[in-house]
Amino acid sequence: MGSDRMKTLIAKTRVPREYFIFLGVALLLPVFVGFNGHLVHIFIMAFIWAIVACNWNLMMGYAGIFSFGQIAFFTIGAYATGILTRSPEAAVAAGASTTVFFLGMPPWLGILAGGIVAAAVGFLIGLPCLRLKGIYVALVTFALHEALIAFIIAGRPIGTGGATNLTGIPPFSIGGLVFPTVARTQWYYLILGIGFLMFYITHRVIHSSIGSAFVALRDAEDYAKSLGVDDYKYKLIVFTLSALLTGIAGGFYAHYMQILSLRLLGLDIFLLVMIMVIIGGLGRFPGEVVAAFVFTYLNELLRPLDVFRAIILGAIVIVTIILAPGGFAGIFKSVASHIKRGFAERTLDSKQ
Amino acid sequence: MVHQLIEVFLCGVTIAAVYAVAAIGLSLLYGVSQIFNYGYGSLLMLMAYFAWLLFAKFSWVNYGLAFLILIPIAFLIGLIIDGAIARPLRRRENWQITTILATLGLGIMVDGFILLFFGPYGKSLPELWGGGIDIGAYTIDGSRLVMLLISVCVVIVVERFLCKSRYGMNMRAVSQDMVGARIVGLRINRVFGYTFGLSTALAGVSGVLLASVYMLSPEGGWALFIKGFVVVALGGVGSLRGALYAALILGVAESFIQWGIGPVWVMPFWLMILIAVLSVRPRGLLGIR
Repeated sequence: MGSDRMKTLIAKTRVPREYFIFLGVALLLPVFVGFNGHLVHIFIMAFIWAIVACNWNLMMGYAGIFSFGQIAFFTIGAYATGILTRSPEAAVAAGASTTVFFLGMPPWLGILAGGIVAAAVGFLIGLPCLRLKGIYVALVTFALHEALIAFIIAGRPIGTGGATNLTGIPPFSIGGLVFPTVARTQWYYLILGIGFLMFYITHRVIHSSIGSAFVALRDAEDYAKSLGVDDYKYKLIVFTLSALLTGIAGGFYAHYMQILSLRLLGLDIFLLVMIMVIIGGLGRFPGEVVAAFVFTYLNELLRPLDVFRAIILGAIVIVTIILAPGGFAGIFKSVASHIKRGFAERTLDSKQ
Repeated sequence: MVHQLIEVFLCGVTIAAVYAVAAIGLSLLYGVSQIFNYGYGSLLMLMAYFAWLLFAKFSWVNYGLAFLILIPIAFLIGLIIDGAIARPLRRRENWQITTILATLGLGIMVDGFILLFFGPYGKSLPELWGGGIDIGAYTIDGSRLVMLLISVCVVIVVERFLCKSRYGMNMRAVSQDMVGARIVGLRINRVFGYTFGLSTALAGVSGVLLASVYMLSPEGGWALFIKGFVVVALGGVGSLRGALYAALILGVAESFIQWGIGPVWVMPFWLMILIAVLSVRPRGLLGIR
């Protein structure tokens, strides 16, 4: 009995082999693309968006919460970290009229605090919102995204930088080791570590009792509810957790860029990350991680095309949804099953 | 002071009327075919840009002609989108979410095309009506009055259409019971197509009306879409009358907030009103679903 439970526990929490392959490739990547090159910067951004996409997928694909507030949580985390870690002198120079919020926290603490601020906002929004039906949730979170712009513009006195940039964020440092923006290789391995930690957390959540509750609610809602599965409670937990992790990702972004602007809340980034989640495959972790890398890179490639970039990205979304509803993950799966079937047929043929 | 307050209030009522037209387009589409069109704002902007094109190219065009030309075009665009995007997805599982995402992709594309053909600079349409009407001590701005009149007429026409005409009744039948409607022999896909067309036409009307007051910009449709979205949710998804009341509340609120503390605060206040109402009435003011 005991060993059975142990076995299922191991089966549930075991990390699939593909992760290690991906980790190996990621570890060696700078060797191939050149240390400190522009490509390394793109991959750092890819890891950051992958974390956001992961959490978005956790919400939308697994928990079935149709949330559009992910970038808002990211921005809240980034701004909170930026404000809390900035020294009072730098803040006053940037136009803040009060220095209460400038604690000059060490960056790692500031990032955690930023995540907690994002989680608190997520909790407060989720409390009334998650009782509503899906489309209403989409709407309220989308409105949060819009409203945040107003708060940041109006928040100039407390040091958000208003309509201009939030500057003077110190570089990330831990235990005397400093990570300036130019030290890209250093940052790459930092973000790689954080990213894989986040992916592991996502993996664990999906395979935990919360994850099973969501699968139950998705597949047989009434039956699951009759057995006492409280969807509101689980949704609130995931909503808050996802806001926390996204806020932390925002904190790392703030220290990497050392400058924040309202461009974060522009349509560009919102759509790009959303595309990663859709194309990666809703509810098909880790498809969105792969998609994050493909699309961050593709977005850079398409940048010279300017106007056509939006048109191409939009067309990709429509075509993928119509032709491959499961996204990348779905394509991989069907290709894999085709190959397997091909092998099976061949072995059958050879036996005959 | 009182004078000014009345003016702000009237301003709110006119903008509310246009929001109502935009919201009814969204609400109707959801009520009948359960699609939320995320490209709605972009389509609205596209129609406004078409209107600008008409005014810029032909000197003899006026608003009446512009509406006559643009409404059929918008209807046709809606039909095409329904046939090309919504219909293939409807047979799949999770079609509601995939359709939302596909229309989001459509919105991005339309934005891109607007940027490509019309450039990034803001454009504006001529005034609806230059004059004004004196009522005692007050002067009512002519453009706003015409805007209000047109919007109210459109809402009444849509309401009558849904209640009295054959197509309108088909739409209501599908919205109440899709399976039942199919059993009695309604061509569901055709009804969906008409609904999408009508919805896009309403987007076009509200887009042209709003463009006579505000500047046009390639990504400006998204803000309008979110506003229409809030109006629909507050009123209750699928309810036309609810959308009307919600538009009135939010439009007047917007006007006073703009006048009192500035335009950036409109969205935060709308959000608070929305959350407050939804926590008391989870389906909006008059929601059915």
